[in-house]
Amino acid sequence: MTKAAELAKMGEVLTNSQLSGRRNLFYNGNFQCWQRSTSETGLGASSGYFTADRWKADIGATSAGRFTMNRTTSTPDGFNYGLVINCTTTDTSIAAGEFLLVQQRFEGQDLQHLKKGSSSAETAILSFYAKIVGSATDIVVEVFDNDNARHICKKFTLTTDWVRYYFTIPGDTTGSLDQDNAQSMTVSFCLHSGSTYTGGTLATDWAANDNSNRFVGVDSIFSSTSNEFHLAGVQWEVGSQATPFEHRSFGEELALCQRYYYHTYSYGSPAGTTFNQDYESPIIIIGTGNHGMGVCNAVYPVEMRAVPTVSFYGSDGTANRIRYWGGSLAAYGTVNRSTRQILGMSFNAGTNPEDFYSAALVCDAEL
Amino acid sequence: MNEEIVGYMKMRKEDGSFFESSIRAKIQVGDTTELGIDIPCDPANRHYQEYLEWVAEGNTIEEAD
Repeated sequence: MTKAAELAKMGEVLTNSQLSGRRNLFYNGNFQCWQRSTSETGLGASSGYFTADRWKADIGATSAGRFTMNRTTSTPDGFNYGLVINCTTTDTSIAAGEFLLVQQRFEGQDLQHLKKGSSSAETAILSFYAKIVGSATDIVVEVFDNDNARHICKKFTLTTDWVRYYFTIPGDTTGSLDQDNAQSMTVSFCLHSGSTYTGGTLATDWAANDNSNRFVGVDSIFSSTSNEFHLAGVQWEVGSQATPFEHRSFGEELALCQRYYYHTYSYGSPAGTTFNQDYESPIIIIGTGNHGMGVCNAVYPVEMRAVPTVSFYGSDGTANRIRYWGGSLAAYGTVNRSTRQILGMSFNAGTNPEDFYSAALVCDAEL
Repeated sequence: MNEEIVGYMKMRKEDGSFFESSIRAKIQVGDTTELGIDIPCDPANRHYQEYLEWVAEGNTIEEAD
Protein backbone atom coordinates (compact mmCIF):
# COMPACT_ATOMS: atom_id res chain seq x y z
CA MET A 1 0.00 0.00 0.00
CA THR A 2 1.36 3.43 -0.93
CA LYS A 3 1.80 6.17 1.64
CA ALA A 4 -1.02 8.12 0.04
CA ALA A 5 -3.31 5.10 0.24
CA GLU A 6 -2.37 4.53 3.90
CA LEU A 7 -3.19 8.14 4.70
CA ALA A 8 -6.49 7.83 2.87
CA LYS A 9 -7.39 4.74 4.91
CA MET A 10 -6.38 6.47 8.12
CA GLY A 11 -8.55 9.41 7.19
CA GLU A 12 -11.48 7.09 6.63
CA VAL A 13 -10.99 5.49 10.01
CA LEU A 14 -10.81 8.86 11.73
CA THR A 15 -13.83 10.13 9.85
CA ASN A 16 -15.81 7.12 10.99
CA SER A 17 -14.66 7.75 14.58
CA GLN A 18 -13.44 4.17 14.80
CA LEU A 19 -10.54 5.15 17.01
CA SER A 20 -12.63 6.86 19.66
CA GLY A 21 -14.37 5.15 22.54
CA ARG A 22 -14.82 1.45 23.02
CA ARG A 23 -14.75 -0.39 19.72
CA ASN A 24 -14.92 -4.13 20.34
CA LEU A 25 -18.42 -5.51 20.79
CA PHE A 26 -17.08 -8.86 21.98
CA TYR A 27 -16.66 -9.62 25.64
CA ASN A 28 -13.44 -11.38 26.51
CA GLY A 29 -12.38 -11.29 22.86
CA ASN A 30 -8.77 -11.85 23.90
CA PHE A 31 -9.65 -14.70 26.26
CA GLN A 32 -8.33 -13.04 29.41
CA CYS A 33 -11.07 -14.23 31.75
CA TRP A 34 -11.63 -17.86 32.70
CA GLN A 35 -13.77 -17.82 35.84
CA ARG A 36 -15.28 -21.26 35.24
CA SER A 37 -12.25 -23.27 34.22
CA THR A 38 -9.20 -23.17 31.98
CA SER A 39 -9.53 -26.75 30.76
CA GLU A 40 -12.48 -29.06 30.24
CA THR A 41 -12.43 -32.48 28.63
CA GLY A 42 -15.04 -34.86 27.28
CA LEU A 43 -17.31 -32.10 25.98
CA GLY A 44 -19.82 -32.57 23.19
CA ALA A 45 -22.85 -34.19 24.76
CA SER A 46 -24.60 -30.90 25.51
CA SER A 47 -24.28 -27.15 25.06
CA GLY A 48 -22.88 -24.93 27.73
CA TYR A 49 -20.46 -22.35 29.01
CA PHE A 50 -17.51 -24.43 30.09
CA THR A 51 -14.28 -22.44 30.14
CA ALA A 52 -13.58 -18.92 28.81
CA ASP A 53 -16.07 -16.33 30.01
CA ARG A 54 -18.89 -15.53 27.59
CA TRP A 55 -17.82 -18.18 25.05
CA LYS A 56 -20.41 -20.89 24.58
CA ALA A 57 -20.05 -24.30 22.97
CA ASP A 58 -23.37 -24.78 21.20
CA ILE A 59 -24.16 -28.38 20.28
CA GLY A 60 -26.85 -29.48 17.81
CA ALA A 61 -28.18 -33.00 17.50
CA THR A 62 -26.39 -35.73 19.43
CA SER A 63 -22.95 -36.44 18.03
CA ALA A 64 -20.38 -39.06 18.87
CA GLY A 65 -17.74 -36.35 18.59
CA ARG A 66 -16.07 -35.19 21.78
CA PHE A 67 -13.61 -32.38 22.36
CA THR A 68 -11.60 -30.48 24.89
CA MET A 69 -11.91 -26.72 25.36
CA ASN A 70 -8.73 -25.26 26.81
CA ARG A 71 -6.76 -22.10 27.41
CA THR A 72 -3.56 -21.85 25.42
CA THR A 73 -0.55 -19.59 25.69
CA SER A 74 0.43 -20.38 22.13
CA THR A 75 -0.89 -17.12 20.74
CA PRO A 76 -0.11 -14.35 18.28
CA ASP A 77 2.30 -11.70 19.54
CA GLY A 78 0.66 -9.37 22.04
CA PHE A 79 -1.91 -11.81 23.38
CA ASN A 80 -1.65 -13.70 26.66
CA TYR A 81 -4.17 -16.40 25.90
CA GLY A 82 -6.23 -18.02 23.23
CA LEU A 83 -8.85 -20.75 23.04
CA VAL A 84 -8.15 -24.18 21.60
CA ILE A 85 -10.72 -26.82 20.68
CA ASN A 86 -9.23 -30.28 20.30
CA CYS A 87 -11.11 -33.30 18.94
CA THR A 88 -10.69 -36.29 21.26
CA THR A 89 -13.33 -38.63 19.80
CA THR A 90 -14.15 -38.68 16.10
CA ASP A 91 -17.59 -38.66 14.52
CA THR A 92 -17.47 -39.92 10.96
CA SER A 93 -21.19 -40.72 10.72
CA ILE A 94 -22.61 -37.24 10.89
CA ALA A 95 -26.35 -36.96 11.47
CA ALA A 96 -28.22 -34.23 9.62
CA GLY A 97 -28.92 -32.03 12.63
CA GLU A 98 -25.46 -31.99 14.16
CA PHE A 99 -23.32 -28.92 14.63
CA LEU A 100 -20.59 -27.59 16.89
CA LEU A 101 -20.47 -23.82 17.26
CA VAL A 102 -18.11 -21.75 19.36
CA GLN A 103 -20.14 -18.63 19.85
CA GLN A 104 -20.93 -15.47 21.73
CA ARG A 105 -24.40 -14.02 22.28
CA PHE A 106 -25.14 -10.30 22.47
CA GLU A 107 -27.81 -8.18 24.12
CA GLY A 108 -29.85 -5.96 21.81
CA GLN A 109 -29.25 -2.88 23.93
CA ASP A 110 -25.51 -3.18 23.25
CA LEU A 111 -25.94 -3.20 19.47
CA GLN A 112 -28.13 -0.21 18.73
CA HIS A 113 -25.26 1.72 17.13
CA LEU A 114 -25.24 -0.82 14.29
CA LYS A 115 -28.50 0.92 13.28
CA LYS A 116 -29.71 -2.40 11.99
CA GLY A 117 -33.01 -2.24 10.19
CA SER A 118 -32.64 1.41 9.25
CA SER A 119 -31.67 3.04 5.98
CA SER A 120 -28.44 4.17 7.65
CA ALA A 121 -27.43 0.72 8.88
CA GLU A 122 -23.70 0.63 9.60
CA THR A 123 -21.07 -1.55 8.02
CA ALA A 124 -19.15 -3.53 10.62
CA ILE A 125 -16.07 -5.70 10.48
CA LEU A 126 -15.29 -8.83 12.39
CA SER A 127 -11.64 -9.78 12.76
CA PHE A 128 -9.97 -12.69 14.52
CA TYR A 129 -6.73 -14.60 14.72
CA ALA A 130 -6.98 -18.32 14.04
CA LYS A 131 -5.00 -21.35 13.03
CA ILE A 132 -5.69 -25.04 12.58
CA VAL A 133 -3.74 -28.18 13.33
CA GLY A 134 -4.90 -31.12 11.25
CA SER A 135 -7.12 -31.40 8.21
CA ALA A 136 -10.30 -29.50 9.17
CA THR A 137 -9.10 -26.27 7.62
CA ASP A 138 -12.42 -24.80 6.50
CA ILE A 139 -14.64 -23.07 9.06
CA VAL A 140 -17.71 -20.86 8.66
CA VAL A 141 -18.38 -17.72 10.67
CA GLU A 142 -22.02 -16.73 10.96
CA VAL A 143 -23.56 -13.50 12.24
CA PHE A 144 -27.15 -14.29 13.21
CA ASP A 145 -29.90 -11.78 13.96
CA ASN A 146 -32.03 -13.58 16.55
CA ASP A 147 -34.71 -10.88 16.63
CA ASN A 148 -35.49 -11.18 12.93
CA ALA A 149 -34.13 -14.65 12.02
CA ARG A 150 -31.66 -13.27 9.51
CA HIS A 151 -28.03 -14.16 8.93
CA ILE A 152 -24.86 -13.60 6.96
CA CYS A 153 -21.94 -16.03 6.71
CA LYS A 154 -18.40 -16.34 5.43
CA LYS A 155 -16.15 -19.35 4.95
CA PHE A 156 -12.48 -19.18 5.91
CA THR A 157 -9.69 -21.57 5.07
CA LEU A 158 -7.23 -21.64 7.93
CA THR A 159 -3.57 -22.60 7.90
CA THR A 160 -1.15 -23.89 10.50
CA ASP A 161 0.07 -20.33 11.15
CA TRP A 162 -1.65 -17.59 13.08
CA VAL A 163 -3.34 -15.28 10.59
CA ARG A 164 -5.69 -12.38 11.23
CA TYR A 165 -8.89 -12.89 9.23
CA TYR A 166 -11.52 -10.30 8.31
CA PHE A 167 -15.26 -10.49 7.71
CA THR A 168 -16.84 -7.28 6.43
CA ILE A 169 -20.50 -7.23 7.39
CA PRO A 170 -22.56 -4.75 5.37
CA GLY A 171 -25.25 -2.79 7.16
CA ASP A 172 -28.55 -4.64 7.12
CA THR A 173 -31.47 -2.33 6.38
CA THR A 174 -33.98 -5.05 7.27
CA GLY A 175 -34.94 -5.97 10.81
CA SER A 176 -34.22 -3.73 13.77
CA LEU A 177 -32.87 -5.08 17.05
CA ASP A 178 -34.78 -4.99 20.31
CA GLN A 179 -33.41 -2.54 22.83
CA ASP A 180 -33.35 -4.80 25.85
CA ASN A 181 -31.27 -7.33 27.76
CA ALA A 182 -32.32 -10.32 25.67
CA GLN A 183 -30.31 -12.08 23.01
CA SER A 184 -30.46 -10.15 19.74
CA MET A 185 -27.43 -11.34 17.82
CA THR A 186 -25.06 -14.29 17.86
CA VAL A 187 -21.64 -14.70 16.28
CA SER A 188 -20.68 -18.34 15.74
CA PHE A 189 -17.56 -20.12 14.58
CA CYS A 190 -18.84 -23.36 13.05
CA LEU A 191 -16.45 -26.31 13.33
CA HIS A 192 -18.77 -29.20 12.46
CA SER A 193 -22.17 -29.53 10.80
CA GLY A 194 -24.65 -32.02 9.42
CA SER A 195 -26.48 -31.78 6.13
CA THR A 196 -29.42 -29.82 7.54
CA TYR A 197 -27.15 -26.79 7.59
CA THR A 198 -24.93 -27.47 4.57
CA GLY A 199 -27.21 -28.51 1.75
CA GLY A 200 -27.75 -25.11 0.16
CA THR A 201 -25.66 -22.13 -0.81
CA LEU A 202 -23.77 -20.22 1.86
CA ALA A 203 -25.59 -16.98 2.78
CA THR A 204 -22.81 -14.53 2.00
CA ASP A 205 -25.22 -11.57 2.01
CA TRP A 206 -27.81 -10.72 4.63
CA ALA A 207 -30.87 -12.90 4.11
CA ALA A 208 -33.76 -14.48 5.96
CA ASN A 209 -32.46 -17.53 7.75
CA ASP A 210 -32.45 -20.71 5.73
CA ASN A 211 -30.88 -23.54 7.68
CA SER A 212 -29.49 -25.15 4.55
CA ASN A 213 -27.44 -22.00 3.85
CA ARG A 214 -25.82 -21.60 7.24
CA PHE A 215 -22.62 -23.67 7.30
CA VAL A 216 -22.06 -24.75 3.70
CA GLY A 217 -18.49 -25.87 3.07
CA VAL A 218 -17.42 -26.37 6.67
CA ASP A 219 -15.02 -29.19 7.45
CA SER A 220 -15.64 -31.36 10.50
CA ILE A 221 -13.28 -30.97 13.41
CA PHE A 222 -14.54 -34.42 14.42
CA SER A 223 -12.94 -36.02 11.36
CA SER A 224 -9.73 -36.75 13.25
CA THR A 225 -8.33 -36.58 16.75
CA SER A 226 -5.42 -34.68 15.21
CA ASN A 227 -7.65 -31.64 14.62
CA GLU A 228 -7.17 -28.56 16.78
CA PHE A 229 -8.85 -25.18 16.25
CA HIS A 230 -7.08 -22.17 17.77
CA LEU A 231 -8.75 -18.77 18.22
CA ALA A 232 -7.52 -15.46 19.65
CA GLY A 233 -8.10 -11.71 19.44
CA VAL A 234 -11.72 -11.66 18.29
CA GLN A 235 -13.09 -8.21 17.52
CA TRP A 236 -16.36 -6.90 16.04
CA GLU A 237 -16.49 -3.17 15.41
CA VAL A 238 -18.49 -0.62 13.51
CA GLY A 239 -16.75 0.65 10.40
CA SER A 240 -15.35 -0.70 7.20
CA GLN A 241 -11.72 -0.88 8.37
CA ALA A 242 -10.47 -3.28 11.01
CA THR A 243 -8.46 -1.46 13.65
CA PRO A 244 -5.82 -2.98 15.92
CA PHE A 245 -7.23 -5.25 18.62
CA GLU A 246 -8.65 -3.25 21.52
CA HIS A 247 -6.86 -4.49 24.62
CA ARG A 248 -8.70 -3.82 27.87
CA SER A 249 -7.31 -4.24 31.35
CA PHE A 250 -7.97 -7.54 33.10
CA GLY A 251 -10.07 -5.86 35.78
CA GLU A 252 -12.19 -4.10 33.20
CA GLU A 253 -12.78 -7.27 31.22
CA LEU A 254 -13.57 -9.31 34.34
CA ALA A 255 -16.15 -6.76 35.46
CA LEU A 256 -17.78 -6.89 32.04
CA CYS A 257 -17.95 -10.68 32.19
CA GLN A 258 -19.38 -10.66 35.73
CA ARG A 259 -22.58 -9.22 34.31
CA TYR A 260 -23.13 -12.76 33.02
CA TYR A 261 -21.33 -15.05 35.47
CA TYR A 262 -19.99 -14.51 38.95
CA HIS A 263 -18.69 -16.60 41.82
CA THR A 264 -17.41 -15.82 45.27
CA TYR A 265 -14.16 -17.74 44.95
CA SER A 266 -11.01 -15.80 44.23
CA TYR A 267 -10.22 -15.53 40.54
CA GLY A 268 -8.33 -18.64 39.46
CA SER A 269 -10.31 -20.93 41.76
CA PRO A 270 -13.27 -22.34 39.85
CA ALA A 271 -16.55 -23.46 41.38
CA GLY A 272 -16.02 -26.63 43.34
CA THR A 273 -12.65 -25.62 44.75
CA THR A 274 -12.30 -26.62 48.39
CA PHE A 275 -11.96 -23.89 50.99
CA ASN A 276 -11.38 -23.67 54.71
CA GLN A 277 -14.64 -22.54 56.22
CA ASP A 278 -12.88 -21.29 59.37
CA TYR A 279 -11.34 -18.33 57.61
CA GLU A 280 -12.11 -18.29 53.91
CA SER A 281 -15.80 -18.95 53.70
CA PRO A 282 -17.03 -17.05 50.64
CA ILE A 283 -20.41 -16.42 52.23
CA ILE A 284 -22.06 -17.19 55.52
CA ILE A 285 -25.63 -18.26 56.02
CA ILE A 286 -27.13 -17.45 59.38
CA GLY A 287 -29.77 -19.51 61.08
CA THR A 288 -32.72 -17.66 62.51
CA GLY A 289 -33.52 -19.50 65.64
CA ASN A 290 -36.83 -21.22 66.06
CA HIS A 291 -38.14 -20.41 62.61
CA GLY A 292 -36.13 -23.26 61.13
CA MET A 293 -34.85 -20.97 58.43
CA GLY A 294 -31.51 -19.59 57.35
CA VAL A 295 -30.99 -16.34 55.52
CA CYS A 296 -28.26 -15.11 53.26
CA ASN A 297 -27.73 -11.82 51.50
CA ALA A 298 -25.01 -10.68 49.15
CA VAL A 299 -24.47 -7.80 46.74
CA TYR A 300 -23.11 -8.62 43.31
CA PRO A 301 -20.04 -6.68 42.14
CA VAL A 302 -21.88 -5.49 39.05
CA GLU A 303 -25.54 -5.59 38.08
CA MET A 304 -26.19 -8.90 36.37
CA ARG A 305 -27.95 -9.14 33.04
CA ALA A 306 -30.96 -10.97 34.51
CA VAL A 307 -31.86 -12.37 37.89
CA PRO A 308 -29.23 -15.11 38.05
CA THR A 309 -29.53 -18.82 38.49
CA VAL A 310 -27.85 -19.63 41.79
CA SER A 311 -25.99 -22.62 43.11
CA PHE A 312 -23.97 -23.26 46.24
CA TYR A 313 -20.91 -25.36 46.95
CA GLY A 314 -19.84 -26.77 50.29
CA SER A 315 -16.34 -26.21 51.60
CA ASP A 316 -15.28 -29.66 50.37
CA GLY A 317 -16.31 -28.67 46.85
CA THR A 318 -19.58 -30.60 46.76
CA ALA A 319 -22.20 -28.95 44.56
CA ASN A 320 -25.66 -28.10 45.89
CA ARG A 321 -24.60 -28.31 49.51
CA ILE A 322 -24.07 -25.88 52.35
CA ARG A 323 -21.97 -26.81 55.35
CA TYR A 324 -23.03 -26.60 58.94
CA TRP A 325 -20.30 -24.85 60.89
CA GLY A 326 -17.98 -27.56 62.12
CA GLY A 327 -20.40 -30.20 60.97
CA SER A 328 -21.62 -32.04 57.97
CA LEU A 329 -22.81 -30.98 54.57
CA ALA A 330 -26.51 -30.32 54.22
CA ALA A 331 -28.88 -30.18 51.32
CA TYR A 332 -31.11 -27.17 51.40
CA GLY A 333 -34.43 -25.95 50.18
CA THR A 334 -33.68 -22.51 48.91
CA VAL A 335 -35.92 -19.72 47.95
CA ASN A 336 -34.44 -17.20 45.62
CA ARG A 337 -35.69 -13.69 46.28
CA SER A 338 -32.89 -12.13 44.33
CA THR A 339 -32.75 -9.21 41.95
CA ARG A 340 -30.14 -8.42 39.34
CA GLN A 341 -28.12 -6.65 42.03
CA ILE A 342 -28.72 -8.52 45.28
CA LEU A 343 -28.87 -12.11 46.37
CA GLY A 344 -31.59 -12.73 48.90
CA MET A 345 -32.04 -16.34 49.87
CA SER A 346 -33.86 -18.06 52.66
CA PHE A 347 -33.22 -21.67 53.50
CA ASN A 348 -35.54 -24.35 54.69
CA ALA A 349 -32.42 -26.21 55.80
CA GLY A 350 -32.56 -26.28 59.32
CA THR A 351 -31.55 -29.11 61.42
CA ASN A 352 -29.42 -26.61 63.31
CA PRO A 353 -31.38 -23.41 62.83
CA GLU A 354 -29.48 -21.34 65.37
CA ASP A 355 -26.09 -21.95 63.84
CA PHE A 356 -23.99 -20.84 60.95
CA TYR A 357 -23.58 -22.40 57.57
CA SER A 358 -20.99 -21.62 54.96
CA ALA A 359 -21.03 -21.98 51.19
CA ALA A 360 -19.55 -20.62 48.01
CA LEU A 361 -21.96 -18.88 45.68
CA VAL A 362 -22.16 -19.18 41.89
CA CYS A 363 -24.47 -16.98 39.82
CA ASP A 364 -25.28 -17.39 36.13
CA ALA A 365 -27.14 -14.83 34.03
CA GLU A 366 -25.77 -15.85 30.65
CA LEU A 367 -27.69 -15.50 27.43
CA MET B 1 -23.96 -25.11 36.29
CA ASN B 2 -23.91 -27.64 33.48
CA GLU B 3 -25.70 -30.33 35.46
CA GLU B 4 -28.02 -32.75 33.74
CA ILE B 5 -31.51 -31.51 34.62
CA VAL B 6 -34.13 -34.25 34.81
CA GLY B 7 -37.03 -32.27 36.27
CA TYR B 8 -38.06 -29.32 38.40
CA MET B 9 -39.54 -28.82 41.86
CA LYS B 10 -41.52 -26.09 43.57
CA MET B 11 -40.33 -25.19 47.04
CA ARG B 12 -42.75 -24.92 49.91
CA LYS B 13 -42.94 -22.16 52.50
CA GLU B 14 -43.31 -22.80 56.21
CA ASP B 15 -47.02 -22.13 55.95
CA GLY B 16 -47.38 -24.81 53.31
CA SER B 17 -47.85 -22.56 50.32
CA PHE B 18 -45.36 -22.50 47.45
CA PHE B 19 -42.85 -19.82 46.68
CA GLU B 20 -43.48 -18.02 43.43
CA SER B 21 -40.06 -16.41 43.02
CA SER B 22 -37.98 -19.46 42.13
CA ILE B 23 -37.92 -23.17 41.48
CA ARG B 24 -35.24 -25.84 41.90
CA ALA B 25 -33.90 -28.06 39.19
CA LYS B 26 -33.73 -31.80 39.86
CA ILE B 27 -30.50 -33.37 38.74
CA GLN B 28 -29.30 -36.91 38.25
CA VAL B 29 -26.64 -38.03 40.75
CA GLY B 30 -25.76 -41.66 40.18
CA ASP B 31 -28.93 -43.69 40.55
CA THR B 32 -30.87 -41.00 42.37
CA THR B 33 -32.01 -37.43 41.88
CA GLU B 34 -31.42 -34.45 44.10
CA LEU B 35 -32.06 -30.72 44.08
CA GLY B 36 -29.69 -28.71 41.93
CA ILE B 37 -29.56 -25.11 40.77
CA ASP B 38 -32.04 -22.53 42.02
CA ILE B 39 -33.80 -20.88 39.08
CA PRO B 40 -35.49 -17.50 39.47
CA CYS B 41 -38.81 -17.02 37.73
CA ASP B 42 -37.36 -14.24 35.58
CA PRO B 43 -38.36 -14.45 31.90
CA ALA B 44 -34.88 -13.17 30.98
CA ASN B 45 -33.13 -16.06 32.77
CA ARG B 46 -32.04 -18.75 30.30
CA HIS B 47 -32.65 -21.61 32.72
CA TYR B 48 -36.17 -20.36 33.36
CA GLN B 49 -36.70 -20.12 29.60
CA GLU B 50 -35.62 -23.77 29.33
CA TYR B 51 -38.07 -24.64 32.11
CA LEU B 52 -40.92 -22.92 30.26
CA GLU B 53 -40.02 -24.89 27.10
CA TRP B 54 -40.04 -28.07 29.20
CA VAL B 55 -43.54 -27.23 30.48
CA ALA B 56 -44.70 -26.41 26.95
CA GLU B 57 -43.66 -29.94 25.95
CA GLY B 58 -46.27 -31.26 28.37
CA ASN B 59 -44.16 -31.83 31.47
CA THR B 60 -45.29 -30.94 34.98
CA ILE B 61 -43.29 -29.53 37.85
CA GLU B 62 -43.22 -31.52 41.10
CA GLU B 63 -44.24 -30.07 44.44
CA ALA B 64 -41.95 -30.47 47.42
CA ASP B 65 -43.33 -32.34 50.42
